[in-house]
Amino acid sequence: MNYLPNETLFNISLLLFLVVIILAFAGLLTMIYRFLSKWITFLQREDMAGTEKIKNDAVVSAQKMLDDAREKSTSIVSEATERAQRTLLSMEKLSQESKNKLTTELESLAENQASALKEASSSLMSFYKEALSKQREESLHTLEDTSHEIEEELLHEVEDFKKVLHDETVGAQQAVEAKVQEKYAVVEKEITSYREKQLKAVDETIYDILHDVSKKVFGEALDMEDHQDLVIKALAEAKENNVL
Amino acid sequence: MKLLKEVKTYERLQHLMTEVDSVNLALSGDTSEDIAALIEESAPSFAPILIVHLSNQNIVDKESAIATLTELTEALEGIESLELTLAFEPTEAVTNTLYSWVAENVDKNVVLDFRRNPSIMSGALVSYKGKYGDFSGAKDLKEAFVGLRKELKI
Repeated sequence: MNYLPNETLFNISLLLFLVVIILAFAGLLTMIYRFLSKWITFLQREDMAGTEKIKNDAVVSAQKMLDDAREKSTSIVSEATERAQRTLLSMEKLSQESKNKLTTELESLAENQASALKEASSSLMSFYKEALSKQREESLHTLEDTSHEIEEELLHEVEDFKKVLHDETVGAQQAVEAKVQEKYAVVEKEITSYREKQLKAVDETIYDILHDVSKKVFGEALDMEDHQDLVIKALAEAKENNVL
Repeated sequence: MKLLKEVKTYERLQHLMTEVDSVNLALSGDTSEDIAALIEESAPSFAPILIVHLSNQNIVDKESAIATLTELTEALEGIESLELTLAFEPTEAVTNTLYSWVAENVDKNVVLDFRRNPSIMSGALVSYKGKYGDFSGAKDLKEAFVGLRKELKI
């Protein structure tokens, strides 16, 4: 079954192969772009995580990503090649010459692709190393600056805390002293008041007792003449005091 | 006025004034001319004294008697009262002694107004012409007690 001329089939096959190759290369570039984006994000997140760790992780990650990319590109290229070969083999009318030429072209393209990938890997590694070195220096600077700032901040916080603690302690002590003084004054006043009240009660009690006793004693001991003399004495006293 | 010597206490003075008023009232209203009888009837306590008082002044008619007794009332109203609060009930002898002392040392025209308060124990509370003084034994005792407490610094 040969409906198309051999030359036309060859051209179609070649065009398909080239399309596959271009798609594979585009996929590879997309992966590289994604890898770079992830790497930059990773570097930003791992800013303070330690230079050695960053370096090791970066190298490992970069190597892994490169290996993955290389494997995937190789796989894609191989797959594309296999597909192209299958396509070519399926074409019954494809001439041996065309096959050889195609094979040669494919090998050449594969070699070129491998070379381009190798070159890309090399430049990518250089870029990674340079970026890593720069990042390490920046991280070190940042770490030093941050350490210094943290130290100053901590010292400042400690000073503030000491000052607050001191103020709070002194303030609390003064408040307690004032409260104690206030309570002491109140208690002292209450004691004085109580003492006066009790003394007054004692006075009255003692006076009442003395009064009663004296009344009984005077009532029994004084006769009318004595009373009379005391009244005259009282009258004389009243006159002396200008009451009379 | 001899009559006033018979009146030594405020109580007796009031009694006398009441009887004099009664006599005056009787003399003014009664038509009887027996003044002595009217006095004896109207002033049972002081009748002898009043009769002597009128006799000493040769009063024989009712009008003169009324005038004399009115003068007597005015004189009695002018007598000052000396209030004495005592711890005991004074006997007549004590009253006489105290009255004599007051008449001699203060004023003759004074009667004694006795009050009784046993709590003052002895001495007297004196009130005269608006002035007052406590000269009682109770006061002396209280001052002695206060002094003793200060001395003991209680």
